[in-house]
Amino acid sequence: MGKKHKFYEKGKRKRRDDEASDDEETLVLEGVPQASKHNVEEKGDQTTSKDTYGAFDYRSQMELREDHETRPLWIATNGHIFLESFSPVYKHAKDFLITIAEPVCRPELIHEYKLTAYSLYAAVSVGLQTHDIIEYLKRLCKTSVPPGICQFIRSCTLSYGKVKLVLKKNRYYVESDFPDVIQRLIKHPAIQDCMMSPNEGLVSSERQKSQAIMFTSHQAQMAGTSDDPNHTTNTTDVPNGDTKEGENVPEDITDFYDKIDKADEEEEEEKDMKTLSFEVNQDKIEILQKTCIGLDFPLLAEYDFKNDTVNEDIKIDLKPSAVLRPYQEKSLRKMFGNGRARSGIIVLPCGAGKSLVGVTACCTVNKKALVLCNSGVSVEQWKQQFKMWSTATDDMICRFTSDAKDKPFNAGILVTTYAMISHSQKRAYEAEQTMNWLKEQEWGIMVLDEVHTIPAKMFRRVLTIVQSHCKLGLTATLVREDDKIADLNFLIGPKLYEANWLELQKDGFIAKVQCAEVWCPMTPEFYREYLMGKVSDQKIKLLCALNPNKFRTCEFLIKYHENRNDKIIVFIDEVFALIHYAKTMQKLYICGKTGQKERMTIIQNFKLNPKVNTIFFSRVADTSFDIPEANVLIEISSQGGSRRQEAQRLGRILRAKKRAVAENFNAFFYALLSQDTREMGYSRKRQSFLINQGYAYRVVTPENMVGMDEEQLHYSTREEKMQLLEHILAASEADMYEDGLTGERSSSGSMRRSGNMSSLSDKQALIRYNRSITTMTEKEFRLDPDCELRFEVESKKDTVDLKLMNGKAEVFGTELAPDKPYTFYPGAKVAVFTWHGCTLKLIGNTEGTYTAKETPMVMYLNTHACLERLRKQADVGYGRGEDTRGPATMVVGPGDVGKSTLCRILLNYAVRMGRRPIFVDLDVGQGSISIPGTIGALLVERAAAVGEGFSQEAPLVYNFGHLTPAANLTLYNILVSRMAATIQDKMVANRKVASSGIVINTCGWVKDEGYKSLTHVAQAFEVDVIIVLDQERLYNELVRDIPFIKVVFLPKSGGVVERTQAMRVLGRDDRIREYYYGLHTKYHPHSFEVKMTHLQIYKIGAPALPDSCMPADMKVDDHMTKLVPIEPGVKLKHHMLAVSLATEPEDLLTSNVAGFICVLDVDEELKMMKVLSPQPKPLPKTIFILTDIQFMDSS
Amino acid sequence: MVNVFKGILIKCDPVMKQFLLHLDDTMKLGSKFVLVDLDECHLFVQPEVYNSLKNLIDEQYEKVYYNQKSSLE
Repeated sequence: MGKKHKFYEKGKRKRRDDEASDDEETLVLEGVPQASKHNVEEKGDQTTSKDTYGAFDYRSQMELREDHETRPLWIATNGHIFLESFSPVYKHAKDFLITIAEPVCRPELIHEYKLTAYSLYAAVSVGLQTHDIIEYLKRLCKTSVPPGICQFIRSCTLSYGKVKLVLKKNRYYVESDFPDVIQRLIKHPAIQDCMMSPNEGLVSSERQKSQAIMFTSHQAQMAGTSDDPNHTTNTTDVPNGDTKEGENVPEDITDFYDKIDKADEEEEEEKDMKTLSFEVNQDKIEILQKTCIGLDFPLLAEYDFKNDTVNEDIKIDLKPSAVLRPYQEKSLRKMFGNGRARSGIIVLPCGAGKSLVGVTACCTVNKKALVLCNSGVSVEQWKQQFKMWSTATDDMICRFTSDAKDKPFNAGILVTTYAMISHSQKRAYEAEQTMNWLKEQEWGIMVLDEVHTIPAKMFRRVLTIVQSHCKLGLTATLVREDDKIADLNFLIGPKLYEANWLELQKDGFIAKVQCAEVWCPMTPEFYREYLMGKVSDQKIKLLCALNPNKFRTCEFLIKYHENRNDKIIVFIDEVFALIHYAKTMQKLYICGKTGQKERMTIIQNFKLNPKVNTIFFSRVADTSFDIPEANVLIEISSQGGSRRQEAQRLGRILRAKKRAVAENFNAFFYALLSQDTREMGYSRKRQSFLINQGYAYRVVTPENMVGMDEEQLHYSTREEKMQLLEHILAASEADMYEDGLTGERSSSGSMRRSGNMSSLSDKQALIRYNRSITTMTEKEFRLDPDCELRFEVESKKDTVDLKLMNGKAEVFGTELAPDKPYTFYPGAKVAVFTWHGCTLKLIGNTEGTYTAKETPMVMYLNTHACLERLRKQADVGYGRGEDTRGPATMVVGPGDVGKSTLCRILLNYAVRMGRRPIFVDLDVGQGSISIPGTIGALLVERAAAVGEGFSQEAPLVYNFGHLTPAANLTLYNILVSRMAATIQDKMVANRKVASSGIVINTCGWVKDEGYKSLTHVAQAFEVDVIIVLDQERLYNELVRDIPFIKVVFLPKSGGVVERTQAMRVLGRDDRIREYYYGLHTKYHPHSFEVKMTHLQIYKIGAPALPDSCMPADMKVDDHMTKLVPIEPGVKLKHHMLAVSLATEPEDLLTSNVAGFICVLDVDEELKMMKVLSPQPKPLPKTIFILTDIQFMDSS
Repeated sequence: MVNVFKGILIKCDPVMKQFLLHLDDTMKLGSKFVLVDLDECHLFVQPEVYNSLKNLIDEQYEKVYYNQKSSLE
């Protein structure tokens, strides 16, 4: 009954629009004829009296006829018509009413229709005349027809349908059977402008009696009747056969009915066959149409495709396997009634076979066809439908979407989307070409799929771009929330046919659906939260959706139906709730975030896999893809009250099932509602469309759900429900809108604790309590671009965790993964740098953490860029055949300037560029590759792990044996040279490594001897670039002494921490401990006893002897590299022994080592030594070198 | 001393009780009217609020349950 306000509101809206003077809007409204603005409802209602309840009292206006029991209709003065479906005359009346009025509500017994200007326009356009309509109504009505109604009908229909715009032989003619109408038109100046030859006068011609187009249908084929052009085949509603119960059918009605039915196919014989027409200019068509509409003579567009010789046929036909169902055939008959193609809209329920109707229409017209749909998926579906039902081949069907652009030039059928056509921005070249081609073509028929989704504005744009003779709109629901449907009527054409859902159901063409509304009570706690309204709107929706009782109901329903082997689809609009449901019940789900491939897999599984019977969908399912068929639809929560959405979803389960005959109901639709929330109201609105179609909604309350308590369902205890509530309340905004759960049930840092009922009474306190039970403090830091966060892990046993919340950050060149916790152990000094800005979370003792805005990272990055350039040059050179290498970089500087860190950064950056550089660590004091006292080289293939060093896979280690090069400089230099040579060999062997270069870290000894060793290193490795950190003097010296090598000066970072001697010692110890026991991953070293005699131990370097003691040929220096055999003894205790890979003592100096063992204990009497070794016994039969490094194993 | 109050015993389902408690908290009736919260289904309230309570409950129902007459279809 709310509809009575509809026209009134529309009037108001019109006035508002005029004031706003929106060009598009007023244009569209101009297309609406004057007569249609008549408001029969308003006028009718004003004159009728009402009784106490507000019901209309028509007794004064209409009188009851005597034989009123035999007649089926009541007509009210406001244009509403009520039809008794149990009347014997029902069938006759029904077809007629569908043609002239719009159905409002069609349940079981009483159907309600409404007369509107549009519906009358539609009636007239299919050939019904004014007096026919009034006559028939009079006959069918129980009472006398109110005079207002007759007037309305007359005023609406008198001028409609009198004039046609016909396209013949590519020329446009305005044609009419009524000479007076034509005369009036010609006299109008605007129309005279449009005429091709205004002075000529009218052409009068015989109208050819064109043969009606026959569509073979189901019944006809079954019955085997022959095609008789003058006999309407099939249709279950032919009155002739079915008057068994209808003895009471008044004669006049039957006769009249036949007459009306045949009105299309055979124009009445008595009428004058002469028609008058004049030709019009093709460019002026729009002005012509508008003027005619303004004069109240809207032009009916009809396309005489049979006589169109200019456009060639595309030569497609329906396949013989394509059999039309009766209602499809009926709708097409309405369209092609008099041999010409009418433009209009056909309304069929979802799953009833609209595509087949579209394909048939295209085949009938047989000219170039353009099909417009909603999405890329629909485009694919239409192409398949064409191939399935018609003889069209792949090259004849061209798709034009953003994904698929076929070549259009030879195609007879083009399938595309509304968006593609009305897209106003710039296109790609190819798309532009296709669009131009599209615009130039003269399309025979344009099929518009899901026509209710287009707003009038977009459609107008489409119309100006595409020229087509005939337009066919296909839809399931001609309702829109914003009532813009009315405009479409005049843009496309009138409604040609609307099917009755219940009848289709009865005939078995669509599934029989049982619709049920299940009321789930809210739990008290949930309801409390809902009422308080303190949470955001989104959360309220979630509260309604995640109501535990609803959850249980859903689970129960799913179990019940799965036992019956049904396929179930569950719709949940909120993604957060969707993921929760799906994960808890362990079912598959598809939401916006799901990738394309994954979607396909899931859908395939649903269709074919008998174990996958349930899927959960979010809103993407409404538009984005081809939803598979199912029996059962469960709606958990749906936002807003869109009727269209409900109807479309229902369409998914309406496709008739094979088992249709056996059971009464084979499809089920459940809408789960949380009682006492606003969901109830929304649901009512959404259902109104389906109720109007005749579906009854059953209400199911909890008492009806038999057996639910016995089942094993989630959320049966109060605790679980409370937890769910907390979980929802704690969810952040990002969680709710994006992906929902990240998998954890509680936010990090909170603890769960068992409690009793009384502790649950005050919920707010509970949540606060949870949050404050943290043994670790959390702190978030926001970093601006180019800043770094510096912190140290000070405490002896606690660790600090770092998490990147959003943005990007790196730790010494290694990129952090988002949301992953990184653990830092005591003693770590960390700087987290971000180039673009980020948010970090630190968990743990975060005192002393600060953000630094000034860092030399930019300079380090520039250095890296230069190195990269050198590498590229090397590559180019190599390509030319030169023997080039990547740059060898040496980092020098005094102690504690961040040399190791800089090396790490440069190496990480190189690896991220795809290089495989070699890292050489010559710092014997704080070795990072192996234990202190060694020099090593490592091939770096991946970035160092955060908090750890580079992964140690087969490093090249040379044992030096002392903690500073000063102890044995000669040996140091020899080893350096040896290492350089080995690396050279390796680089020759592996090109990739060669082009990536080397990064060398040196020790902090830069004075005098140390300086000399630096120069030696530079020479040995043939260094290209030397980076000097922080010490200008060193820089100048190097520049002076080694002019042919590039020397760069870089500042040290402000975050570098000076290490005390104690710290260094600790550091060394830690390093050795790490060597044996591992850092993150635990190693298990082995300690065992060995006989002293088994070991061959040497020491490199003997104490200096004065010159005088020297043998003649020996020099002083040689003693530094002299090999001295050592007797195992107590003095070896706690020393590290290097396991050399040399086979002969002479090679000891120049071989690298395999590893180290530590002497834990020496037993002189038994001549046994206890050693700690990374490998299990026995020890390899090699030579051991004694080093100066000592280690106390405390663990 | 024994204190005697006169009041109304309300028996309802848990959900409705939450609603009444909500009204109580937000002082929709001007003051707090719940005297004792007995258990999940029972409340003991002041006698004066009876009529206004009925009105409020009706209002809530109107809000929640969509009334076809009151809005456009």
